[in-house]
This record gives sequence, structure tokens and C-alpha cells, in this order.
Amino acid sequence: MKSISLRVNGRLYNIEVRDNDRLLEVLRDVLGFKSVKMGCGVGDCGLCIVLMDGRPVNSCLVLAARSDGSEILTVEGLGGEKELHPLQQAFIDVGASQCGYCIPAALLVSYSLQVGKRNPSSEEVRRALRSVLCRCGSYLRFEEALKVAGRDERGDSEKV
Amino acid sequence: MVSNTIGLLQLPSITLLTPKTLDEAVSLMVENPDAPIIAGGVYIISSIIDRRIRPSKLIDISKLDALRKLEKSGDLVRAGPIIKHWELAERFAPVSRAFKDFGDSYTSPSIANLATLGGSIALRHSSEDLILIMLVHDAVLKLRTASSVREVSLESYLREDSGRHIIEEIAFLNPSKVFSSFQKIALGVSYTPLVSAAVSLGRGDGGGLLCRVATSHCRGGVPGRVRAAEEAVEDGGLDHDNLELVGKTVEKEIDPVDDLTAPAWYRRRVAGVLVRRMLDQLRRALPR
Repeated sequence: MKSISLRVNGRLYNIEVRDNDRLLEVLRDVLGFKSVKMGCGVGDCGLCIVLMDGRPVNSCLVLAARSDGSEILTVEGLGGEKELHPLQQAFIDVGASQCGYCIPAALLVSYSLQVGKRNPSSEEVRRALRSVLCRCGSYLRFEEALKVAGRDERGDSEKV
Repeated sequence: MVSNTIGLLQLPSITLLTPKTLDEAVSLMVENPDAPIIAGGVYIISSIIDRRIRPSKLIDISKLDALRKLEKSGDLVRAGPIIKHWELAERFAPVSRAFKDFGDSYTSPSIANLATLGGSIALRHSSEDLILIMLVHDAVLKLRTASSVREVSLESYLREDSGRHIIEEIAFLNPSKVFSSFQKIALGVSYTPLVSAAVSLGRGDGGGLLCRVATSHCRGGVPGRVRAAEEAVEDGGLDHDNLELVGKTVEKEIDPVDDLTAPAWYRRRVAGVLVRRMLDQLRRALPR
């Protein structure tokens, strides 16, 4: 067992992990962040994506022991029922959520893109969202949601 | 401790060895001859999950600061093996078409945030786009073994069995001083490369053309340089007719694997087209 410190959604956790525990399992099963979804388990589908030190990573490929000292953001830290993040609201407004399974990952990838660049181009959005496999095929609505959230943030009056 | 809710997909028991220095990493490598070296973890972790490998120990070099450098040194860039793909793409895309193409066509940006330069090179596999880009930038590797430190060109490294080693450094031509390009044909959803190629052009001291050509499936599934095509460019120039010949030379010289994703003949033809097309585009940017 190894002792590690993780700051998840702004809160510091000191936990014991085994060498074969992955970040995905620790976030879901130990710390209870159920938005982090198990998909393929080998880095192909991107459903387990979290932001690690500000960058999207597949948490199924990260050994928890190697994430010691990292800062993690999951969708629970983005916004909740009482106060949705503008991106979450935009996903609802444009009907981007179909089955919902990939939505936490899609939100985090979209959020990291939005933080890095205020007005990403369609090409940049599509490139970033390659990390997430959406079986419902909602990519165009993810893209639309990003545009809507960007407009709302800038206070543009144009409606979709 | 984690409950076993993910069942069979949980990793089997592993001991993670975490050296504090490069010397310690080399000692651990010698003491544990079957333990894979893990940096980004993309290939190793997915291979364990897929049961392609069953190691009981892993040697984690991801915290070794000595392997993290990325610095300019004259006409060269010296990079540590644990530099991540995103760092290379972000640093060099503004000055290098090949690195921009690399970033733009990346399979999954979240993987680029984990995968490392050294990890890609050590795989010696056609799926690793960076190998081609490093080949056309004349990359030289510094390899650390139990008994020596030696330098070897990436081209040679791809052909030889280097024994048990750690890649300590990758030195390559400064991308801002090379006219280079990278293109690939990939499966639509996964962006798994079917065929990829990279080229670079420059002028020698006497003003003559210098050319590098690399393809993803030079020998089976192993990337490599296509010397005959390079010579065809350097001897015959960049006019349309000669570029047709260069493309045909690539088709003739490489020996790609024939597998479920693409037949060998297709890979040969596409590699020739990609090389010809990139050289034609770079020709216009090259100073006379």
C-alpha cells in the first residue's frame, strides 16, 4: 500500500492505494465520484476522462500511485444540481445528452478546451472531442453546446 | 483500498518500483529483467488489461526529472524520453509543419496528455507517428545499459535488438530549421493509422538538396527511412516527373505488413502518394 494525496474538485484527500489501483477505480469506488465512468478500460473510449492538472486524461490508464500530488477535476466539481456550470446548462439546452454515459467526459473535454481558448473553432472542438466515443453520435450537439456557452459567457444576444 | 466492483477488468497484482535516480532505475532494470519500464503507461497498462503481458513488477521512470528535459542545443533539440506528446506538439507546431500535422491528426488528445516520446520510440511500431517525424529530423538516441552509455541513430535502433536499456535522451534537428511534413491515412473512428509518412527537405552546405523520407510500414509493421527515395530526390530534384519517380520508388522499396486493416499493396501505393504529395507541397516553401 502507498499513501497518496490527491486534490479532487478542490478538496484534499490523503488515501492508501495498492500499486495496481487505477485512478478510475480510486475516484469511483473509494472517493465516490460516480461521474467517472468505466468504458473500455484500455484508453480507447475516453469515458473515464478526468482533468488531471488541467488536462484531460484517461483515468483507466493512470495508476493511482503515480497520480500522487495531482489536482483532479471531475464533473462533480464543475457544477451540481443547485448551480450548473454554463456548459452543463448548454448541454441541456441543445439536447446534447442522449444516453448520458459519455456526457461527463464530453463536458470535461469541452471545459478544458473552453478554458484554454475562449472561442475554439469547429475544427478545434471536433479534434478535442475525438477523445470521447459517443455511441449516440451527439458530437454536433456537443459542438453546438460549446458555441452556446461561449455566447452566453460573452453576453451575445444572438439566439440559436 | 478499492473494492472489486470492476471485476475482471481490474489490474492484477503488481509491484511498482519507483527509482529516485537514473542510476537506481538502471540497477532496478538489471535486478528485474522481466519488469517493463513504464513512463506514460498508455501501452503498458492497456497491454496488462488486455492480458498481452503479465508483469509482476513495473519500473516507473515518470518521476525522474533528469529524463524530462526539452532544450535547444545549437542546431539540435535534446529531449528526455518522458516528455509528453502534447508538449512536443505544442512547442513545435508553431514552427514545424510536421509537428502541426502530428498534433492535428492525433488519435485522441487525452492520450497525447499521457503518452511519452520515449515510450513511442521504444515500441518501434507503425502506430507511433512520432517515430516518423523523429526519423526525418535525424534523431539520435542515448541509450543507458547496465555497463555503458552509447549513442545510436533512431534508424539503427529500429533495426537492432538493443538489449535491456533505458532511453536517456533523444537528440533531433531543431524543427524550426527543417522543412518537414507528416501525413497519415487513418481509420475514421479510432484514427488508427493505416499508412503514414513523413518527409523533410533542406539544403546542404554546397546548396544541394538534403532529403529524408520515412514511412510507417517500411518493414512489416516497423517504421523506417526509405533511402532510395531520398537519393532519388537528392539526385533528381523536385520537378513533377522526378516526384512521380520518387513516389514509385517508395512503393517499390517498402515491404508493409498485410493485415486486417489494410492489404500490403494498398499501403505501398498510399505511402508513395503521401510522400509525393508532401514533397510537392514542401518544394514551394524551400528557399532556392
